[in-house]
Amino acid sequence: MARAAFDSRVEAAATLGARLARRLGRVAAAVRAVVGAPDYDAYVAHLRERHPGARPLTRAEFVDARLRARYERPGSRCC
Amino acid sequence: MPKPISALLWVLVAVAGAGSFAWLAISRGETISAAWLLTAAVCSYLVGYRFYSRFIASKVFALDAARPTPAARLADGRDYVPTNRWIVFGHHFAAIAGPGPLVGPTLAAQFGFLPGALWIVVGVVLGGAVQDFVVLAASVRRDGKSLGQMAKEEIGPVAGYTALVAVLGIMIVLISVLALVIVNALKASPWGTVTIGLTIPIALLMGAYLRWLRPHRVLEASAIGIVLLIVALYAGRWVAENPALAPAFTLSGTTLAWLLMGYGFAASVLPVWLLLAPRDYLSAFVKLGVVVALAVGIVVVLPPLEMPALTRFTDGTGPVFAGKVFPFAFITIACGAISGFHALIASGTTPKLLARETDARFIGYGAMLAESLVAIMALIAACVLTPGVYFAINAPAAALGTTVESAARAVQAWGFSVSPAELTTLARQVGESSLLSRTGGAPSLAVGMAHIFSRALGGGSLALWYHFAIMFEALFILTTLDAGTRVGRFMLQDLGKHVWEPFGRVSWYPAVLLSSAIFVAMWGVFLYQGVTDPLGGINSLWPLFGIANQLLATVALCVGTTVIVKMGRARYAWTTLLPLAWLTAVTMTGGWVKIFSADPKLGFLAAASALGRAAAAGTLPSGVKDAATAARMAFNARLDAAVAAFFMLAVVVILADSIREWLQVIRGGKPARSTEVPFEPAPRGGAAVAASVAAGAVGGD
Repeated sequence: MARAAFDSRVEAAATLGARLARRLGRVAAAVRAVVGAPDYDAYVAHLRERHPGARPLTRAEFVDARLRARYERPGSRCC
Repeated sequence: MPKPISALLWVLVAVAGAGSFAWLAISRGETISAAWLLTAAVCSYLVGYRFYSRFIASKVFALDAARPTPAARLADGRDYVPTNRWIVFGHHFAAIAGPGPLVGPTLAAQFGFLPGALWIVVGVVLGGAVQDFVVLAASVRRDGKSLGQMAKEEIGPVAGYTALVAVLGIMIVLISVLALVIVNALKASPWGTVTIGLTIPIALLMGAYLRWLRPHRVLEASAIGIVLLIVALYAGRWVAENPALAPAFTLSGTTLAWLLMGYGFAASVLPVWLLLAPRDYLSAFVKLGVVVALAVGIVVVLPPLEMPALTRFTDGTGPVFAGKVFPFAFITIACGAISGFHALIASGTTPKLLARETDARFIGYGAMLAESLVAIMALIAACVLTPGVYFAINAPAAALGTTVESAARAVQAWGFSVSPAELTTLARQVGESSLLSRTGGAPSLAVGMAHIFSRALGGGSLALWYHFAIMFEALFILTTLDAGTRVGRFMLQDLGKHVWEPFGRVSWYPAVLLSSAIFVAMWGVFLYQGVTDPLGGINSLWPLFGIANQLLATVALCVGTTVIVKMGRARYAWTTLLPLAWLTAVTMTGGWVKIFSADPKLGFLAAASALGRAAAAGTLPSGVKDAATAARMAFNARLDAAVAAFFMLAVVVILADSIREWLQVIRGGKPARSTEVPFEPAPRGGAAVAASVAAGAVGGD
């Protein structure tokens, strides 16, 4: 009985930890989006959903292309 | 909330706002708490957002959450990504809020706090926020098209090309004046120079970390960067206190100007991952952090405003910049009240991220209100200083002389009290050899911020907080300077390819180097002119920047009006025509006075001929070395006059072209052909994406 209670407590702690980690991950993703860091995961998720056959760019290729595009025209930074 | 309670609440908010304004306006002779200013502003923002922005959203645009946005229809995982509206808000705010809302209100404080405060609050509610919102909504309905494209397609090719050239002109003036602000903050300041200088290797280090060590770990790299910034702050102090090292970093204005030009050139030609991107991340974090900290600091301290509501300089004789309250208060404060540059952001990245078009209200109108609040906080920070100290920091050497004694005498002659000992003590407290004539607004704002931070948060000396504030402002400005130089280079290449095709090749190194050098030279000329100007440079360059920025707002409001007219809602066109009429009056009067005023302190042409006369008579004004210098200054003044004339001409061309288009459409002589993407009910997939992104965020009201 005590053993089962202990196990369930461990399990609860583990799910709590996982939930916390997930939440932290979401916060981190939001912060990255606010400062304008390229979001590779969203890009891959988009391709998988809309164009299942397409080969995605590698992370490095994607980030490079996004950053270059960002500083080519006015509209990303102001006075 | 039950209706009567909600109505009562809004009446209370309105009464609190109006009452605070009344109190600000009638109080004379004694200092007044910043709480009144803050309450007046925040209540006005709430009322403006709740009622006016809702009116524009429902009546003018009829924004509809069911209408698929470009992000949903064109989703590509790159540019077009449906994004939660709070994230878009943060991203948009970080993009629009630059050094403008910090510097402008600080300079305009020479009129007293009231003109600036009124213009910031009224201007944003009826003008700036409307502009941002209308341009964002128009762009969202047009697949996220840019302002230039919309001007071309909605108004006509003449307006389109004028807008394009105007944007290039604005970038040049903007970068030069911001660079001048940095130079004035850093000259003869080893602490500031070392701290700001170190931010460049810090960015390079972050770039290398993100490339090779831990690729794409943006948050880790930023955390390291922020820690290193604090180290840089202390390193600056260590160098400044070291008698062997300090002289090597005590630089003159011209040296700093050349270094900044070199930096801009490097940022334009180096790969973006190495310098620009990491610097931008760092700057965004510092920007958001300090803005929040300043808000908390002001609310905790609620400092008294030492500056009177109105000073005697409303008559146009002010030492910070010449010119009367009208039009110069409205030109000096652009960002924070209305900033045309925002129209480029609102038609740039942001419209491609909106998950629902109704979000345009919160992001377009709301983020601009937030920027306006930043401007109010900057005004408060500037008015925390006693007027005597404020004018000793912000008036040029030509007005103050170069010693604390002459400065105190000059300030006393203007009717404000300050003693030489006070000025010496303050300079020592903030860790500088002198604060006299540090024109440009950044240093006096930093002194004000240091006062607020040290009282609210404690944590060390005034000197550390002062240099922290300078670092914050410089970081802001350098991100505009480097990204702006690179963008200017691309625009120049785009224009130049019509003359010589290879010039437009963006990855051909000779073209890259040449176009970068040309663009840096274009703003470098104005920067160098400002640095060597005995009147401080800000006096001539900041009004030019204000006129340029308001010109861009004119373009944006013309596009907005055209869009509204072509939607068949001409009866609501007054929403954009009202700020447009005001801005036209302001820019045209301001431009005219700057060119033609007979006062050499004010008019460019009068200044040029006065210098010519003085050189011929052999009686050069103080600070001008020889006849050759005088001749160069006269040329610069004429160049400034030509630039102002160009901006005025651009306003006239765009207005005329727009009015022609409106009249034709209203009279029925021309079909109201708009480029708006027609409303099609969302396909299931797109709607689901938009809905899932928006989930969690509260809907409209």
